[in-house]
Amino acid sequence: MIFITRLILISITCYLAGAIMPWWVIIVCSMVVSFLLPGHNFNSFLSGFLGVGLLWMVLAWKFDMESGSNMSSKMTQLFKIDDPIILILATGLIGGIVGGFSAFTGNSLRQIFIKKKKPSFYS
Amino acid sequence: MKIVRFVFSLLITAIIFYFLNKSIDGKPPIGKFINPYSGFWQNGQKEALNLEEELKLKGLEEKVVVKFDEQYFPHIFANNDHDLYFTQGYVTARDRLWQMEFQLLAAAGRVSEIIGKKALDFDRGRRRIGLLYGAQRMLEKVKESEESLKALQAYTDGINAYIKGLDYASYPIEYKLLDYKPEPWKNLKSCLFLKLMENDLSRFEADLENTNALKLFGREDFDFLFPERHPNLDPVIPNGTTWDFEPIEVEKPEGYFERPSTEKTIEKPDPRNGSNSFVVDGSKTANGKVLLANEMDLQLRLPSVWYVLQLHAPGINVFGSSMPGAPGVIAGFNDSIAWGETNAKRDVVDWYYVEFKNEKREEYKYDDKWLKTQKIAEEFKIKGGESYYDTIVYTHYGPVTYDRNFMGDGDRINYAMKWTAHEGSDEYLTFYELNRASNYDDFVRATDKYDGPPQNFSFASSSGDIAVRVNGKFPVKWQEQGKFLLDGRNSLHEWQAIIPKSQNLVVRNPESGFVSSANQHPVDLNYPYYTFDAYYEYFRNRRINDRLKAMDNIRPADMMRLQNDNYNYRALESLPVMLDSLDTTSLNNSQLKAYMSLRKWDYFNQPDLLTPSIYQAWWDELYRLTWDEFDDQDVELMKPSVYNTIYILNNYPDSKFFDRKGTSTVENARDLINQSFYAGLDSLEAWKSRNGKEYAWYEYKNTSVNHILDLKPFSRETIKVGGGKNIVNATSARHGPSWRMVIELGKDKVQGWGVYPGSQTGNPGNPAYGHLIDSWAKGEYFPLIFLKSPEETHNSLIFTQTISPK
Repeated sequence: MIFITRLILISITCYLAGAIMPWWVIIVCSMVVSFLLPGHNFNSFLSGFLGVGLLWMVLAWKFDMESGSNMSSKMTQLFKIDDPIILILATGLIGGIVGGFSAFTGNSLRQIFIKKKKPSFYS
Repeated sequence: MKIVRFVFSLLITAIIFYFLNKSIDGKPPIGKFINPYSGFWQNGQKEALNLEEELKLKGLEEKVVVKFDEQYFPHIFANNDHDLYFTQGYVTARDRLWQMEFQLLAAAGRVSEIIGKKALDFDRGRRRIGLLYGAQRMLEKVKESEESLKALQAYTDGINAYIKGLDYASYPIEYKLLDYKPEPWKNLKSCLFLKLMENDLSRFEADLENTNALKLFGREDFDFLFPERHPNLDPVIPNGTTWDFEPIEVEKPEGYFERPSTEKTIEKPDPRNGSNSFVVDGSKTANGKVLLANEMDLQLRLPSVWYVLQLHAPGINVFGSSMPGAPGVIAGFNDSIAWGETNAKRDVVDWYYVEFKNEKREEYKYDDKWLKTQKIAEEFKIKGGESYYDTIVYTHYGPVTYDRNFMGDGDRINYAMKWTAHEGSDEYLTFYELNRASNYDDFVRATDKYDGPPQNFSFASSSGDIAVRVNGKFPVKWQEQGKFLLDGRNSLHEWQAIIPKSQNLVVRNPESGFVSSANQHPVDLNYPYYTFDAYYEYFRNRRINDRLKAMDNIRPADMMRLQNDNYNYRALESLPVMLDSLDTTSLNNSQLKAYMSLRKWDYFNQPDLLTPSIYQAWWDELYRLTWDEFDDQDVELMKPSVYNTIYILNNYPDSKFFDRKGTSTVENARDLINQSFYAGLDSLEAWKSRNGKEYAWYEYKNTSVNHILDLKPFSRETIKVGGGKNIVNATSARHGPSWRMVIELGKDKVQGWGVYPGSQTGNPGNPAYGHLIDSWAKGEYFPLIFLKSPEETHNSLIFTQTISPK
């Protein structure tokens, strides 16, 4: 449950802040959200990866549709890529990697302050 | 452990950030570039026009209405001059900002700032020819005229109003690709733009090449290879015209000046930059109205060199083509006149040999005196590297371009550049007045203020006048002054006087009923002043005049057909002798086929034909073999013109220049014609197998309209268009008619048609990017919608934007 919440929160904050801030705001958002909602390492990485990755992918797809692919089709030629779909996936992947590592970092910072519960004497 | 993990992950994140935020190896920073919110995704447009109907801008005085027609040409209606030029600046920047800025970075020698060290040599060359120096002196002159300064300032403010509204997301794509940002526009930049035009149009010269050739070949051969005139020229001013003014005399120096030779000379603009213009009066036209045609043959580029618009305000209503970076309309029409330009070739760049007193280079010799130099330290900022510094020494002639730091062959040569573009003049005032001119006298007054780049201004008025005026600032020269290196130590080598504007060449309402110009010789020897250029055009003008003499009852469509004429005058004058000299007995079947097709050819370079390619390949080989003595020389030389080559071929087939170096036999023209025929066909076969297609003329010529950065996806290649170099339709591989217009002027009505190979928008992500190219290639034109008032309706108007002051 906390995984989904974190993922959605990362997406929403990146969605809102991204509209007015430079691209690296996704690092800040993913870190802060995972700091506030800590979890397992892989778990937080994945929420950052999917939270930012899916957001960027959907946005890239949306802007591409709205512009009739007029620029992406030229970019695919410029960077020798076969299909604008690959550009959209690449946008998602790059956003995902940045989001994932940022979330992982935010979570790691939080972990420093969380005392691991000592195993109970009776357990 | 946890701390280690945190530090480690932070490090990885930081590394990822670093590499995604940095431009590596000329590639854009990936994170920034791919971010859907502000990266390249934001540069695509579904609709060609996606503008708000209402817009508010700080800096406007009153409301402005901008209407757009189907070609997206804006029609600007303002209530005063300020708002008019402000809006021109704004809408031009909206479509073309990156191009406007980049071309001036190149002119100012600042390309290294964006692309790094590889542009340093280019930048150094640019600063050493003093374009910025000339721009500063121009701006001083602009400030002397209130109207001109006001118009320029408003134009600048309009561009800046657009720049201020931008953020990274809305930057043109090229800024994102090269990872830099626009800087504020200045009046000086628009002046620099004019200097860039002077560079492209008036800096062709061959003084040092001529000096080398004279030393190498001797006087007799030099005059044979590079004659100033030929028997059958057809100059801008009709042969036989007489002049009744008292010319200014200049004193020619006595004695001999031992000129050094020069191993390597600076890069020059492309001599193909030229134009055609022809005007016919009522006696030649079908309806008695006057017709003016103009086209500028420049490098074919996207974004386009022209931006077409209408400017309307109290006292002005003008339509035509403007240049992004310059206020006003450069070539166009209003309700009383139409005007156009072609390049008036005349040597306005001279080189002076400079002798410094000593190594400090603080003084240089002038007659029996030593004059002081001025030194300017130039800083070249380099992207990803440390700044480079260069000191440029200035004499009263101009910058010492060649010296020990730049192409001076150690300390052997110091040459100062003298160029009219370095001297202050306000050309924008000329266009300001031309835009408002209503008759011939206004036209003369406006062009009187014009110094450079020298142009043949063609003129037509609704009252029936036609004229062409060869105008610019021309020094009075003694015979051959400035054809070779001049001696900077001798005051008699100076430009001693300037030809008064009233004595510049003009022809008005000639009996023939037409005037024309196409970069040819300006005038015959009746003109009392010495005129010279190393790169006159010899073919287009004769074809145009031949046609105009024969034509009658001319309609606008006939003018358009003549602009698109593919008749190859070069082939007409060279192919017969080539074919007659060919030994046909030894040809095989395919060679015979090529020969027969040339025999049957009507000399039209139509796009689909194979024959023009055969002629061209043959000619190229013949030219190369003929002038083999120019190869492998250790000084810089210019080869003889195509026209003179054909002349020699026809008249001196046994000239020693046809003998090939390094062969034991002595060749004549006939031998070279035979050898080059086989070599030409071989090169065509090689071309065919390399490209996997037939060498149809348009494929072989490969006319392309390339993006300024030569990015393939932003360019259009292999456009199906005929014509070629020296043909009226002067469309070669990278050059061609960059704006064609035909204007009909009647007392009651003025009509115009125009087309250019590009689009108003400079955004490669706009569906209209380059959309006029196909019509241009087919020789089609669009009617130019000339509106009388903002209220006038027209079914070609598709959108209106109202801009109000904020």
